Amino acid sequence: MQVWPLQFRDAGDDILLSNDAGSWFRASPQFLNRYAAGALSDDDRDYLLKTGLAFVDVGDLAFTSHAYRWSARRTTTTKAIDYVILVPTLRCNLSCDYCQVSRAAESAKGFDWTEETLTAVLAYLDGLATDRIQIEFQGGEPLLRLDLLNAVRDFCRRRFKHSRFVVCSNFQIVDDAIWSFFADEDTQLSTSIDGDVATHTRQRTGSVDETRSLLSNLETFLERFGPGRMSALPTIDPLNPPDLDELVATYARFGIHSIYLRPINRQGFARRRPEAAGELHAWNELHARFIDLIVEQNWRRDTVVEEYYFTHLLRRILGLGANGHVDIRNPNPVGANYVVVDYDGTLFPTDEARMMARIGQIDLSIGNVLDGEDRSKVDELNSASFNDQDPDCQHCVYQPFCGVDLIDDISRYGRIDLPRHQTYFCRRHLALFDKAFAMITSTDQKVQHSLCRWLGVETWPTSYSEVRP
Amino acid sequence: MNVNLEIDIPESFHAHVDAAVMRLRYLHPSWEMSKEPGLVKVTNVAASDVPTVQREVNYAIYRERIRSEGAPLRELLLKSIMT
Repeated sequence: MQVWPLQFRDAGDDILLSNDAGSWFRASPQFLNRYAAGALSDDDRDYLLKTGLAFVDVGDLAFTSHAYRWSARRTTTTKAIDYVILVPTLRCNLSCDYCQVSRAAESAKGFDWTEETLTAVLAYLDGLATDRIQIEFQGGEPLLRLDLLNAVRDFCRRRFKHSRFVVCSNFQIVDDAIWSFFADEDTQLSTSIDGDVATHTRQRTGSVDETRSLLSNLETFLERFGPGRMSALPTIDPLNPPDLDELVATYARFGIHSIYLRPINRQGFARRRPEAAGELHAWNELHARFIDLIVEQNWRRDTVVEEYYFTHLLRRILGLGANGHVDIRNPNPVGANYVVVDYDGTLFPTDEARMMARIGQIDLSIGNVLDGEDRSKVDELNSASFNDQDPDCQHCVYQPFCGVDLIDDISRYGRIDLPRHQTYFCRRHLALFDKAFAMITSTDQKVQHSLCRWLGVETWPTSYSEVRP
Repeated sequence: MNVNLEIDIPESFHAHVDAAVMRLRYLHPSWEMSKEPGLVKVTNVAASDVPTVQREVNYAIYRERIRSEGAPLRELLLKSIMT
């Protein structure tokens, strides 16, 4: 019998162990000592064989099952670009002080697609090897160029069998043409609500009246189109966060019960205010507090609130096919199934890469809509887009569930070979996975209630809380 | 109060001490480490950190052994999947 290599990490008084295929269990420190010393007992060996953590012969059922699970975790869902982020204008009518994206003043000239760029964008979309497309309009404020959005949408509806459109807008100013644009079922609004009125005003609008105007517009949107057509994200400064109860209540007001908490991402122009000492630690604490809050609230009411990214991580841990989120995939190839088209037609692998080029940090552009993609650059980036061989990750119990974010590493540190535990990505995800496993292995009824509702299961398996002696 | 720590390494782990110490020096550059046959020494350790240092040294050696002895299995898996 051979045991697939196990990674491990302290989990309270016990040890959490996992293998490369994402099978995991908890055990006593004595088990770890026996395993590392090659002195497993007969009971240990029976357990490992029975649970698929070991095999007898190459090609037997246990071997094949492990190989399947290993492969399934490393399969990205699509093979062709079918998600395109379009930036028809950099101009914006707000100037949030931490704005992640490069922006230009509303009245600035030369920051919109030209007629030639629009033609080339449509030709680029036409050349994609897919019959389904999702277009995400970003900016700047994309609704400042509704004409360009209409041109793209009309084209995609003709060109693709299935098309879907998301407009990322601050939704401060709307008129009849904009309401009419959103009336179609294939078009969604994605906006930002940073919690309570005071926080949103401080972070974004600078005026209570403007914040109230946004909330009023969103209420009208909900009345006109119903729930499910609008999503929103809060951007949170962990050193000056909103009231979390109020944040949940604000989102509930708009029928949004899946909340994606997003820490301020001090990249691009936001680098003018560097990350403060202790900011990540504060973020990790705040996130854990938010999870505890919604677990408590979910216990007392029918409508269940989730934190979107945390639920995604739970799905990854439990092998529920959650391999598509570009913030946490392994491998995480750039330019493989999504791409960003900037206001001048330049192609970028991610929005963060666009920011870095804009501020002159590094040019990670991968071509343009006229000449197509520069695959040599894409391939060079992708040679490091997985964590299996990373000298730190290969020892980490969370490696099979985690991912890589090359662009984030380059943006923050100017390199991709920093020891993992020194990176923002690693420190953030260690905290998230610690929290996730603490909950998965918990016997607390309230915790299990939320887990069941988030993941759509009837009862929580008792085996998850068992500890191998 | 600081102490000098000597951690006995069982013989079956001796082959993995070099790699483990190299990795510990990278993970904890402030630790003053040396090794002798069957022994890892860490000097000038705060008394309150002794259990942590002992555990980290043991874990590093465990991890190097698992990585080293698991390499053929990982290679076998990749060959099985890729061919």
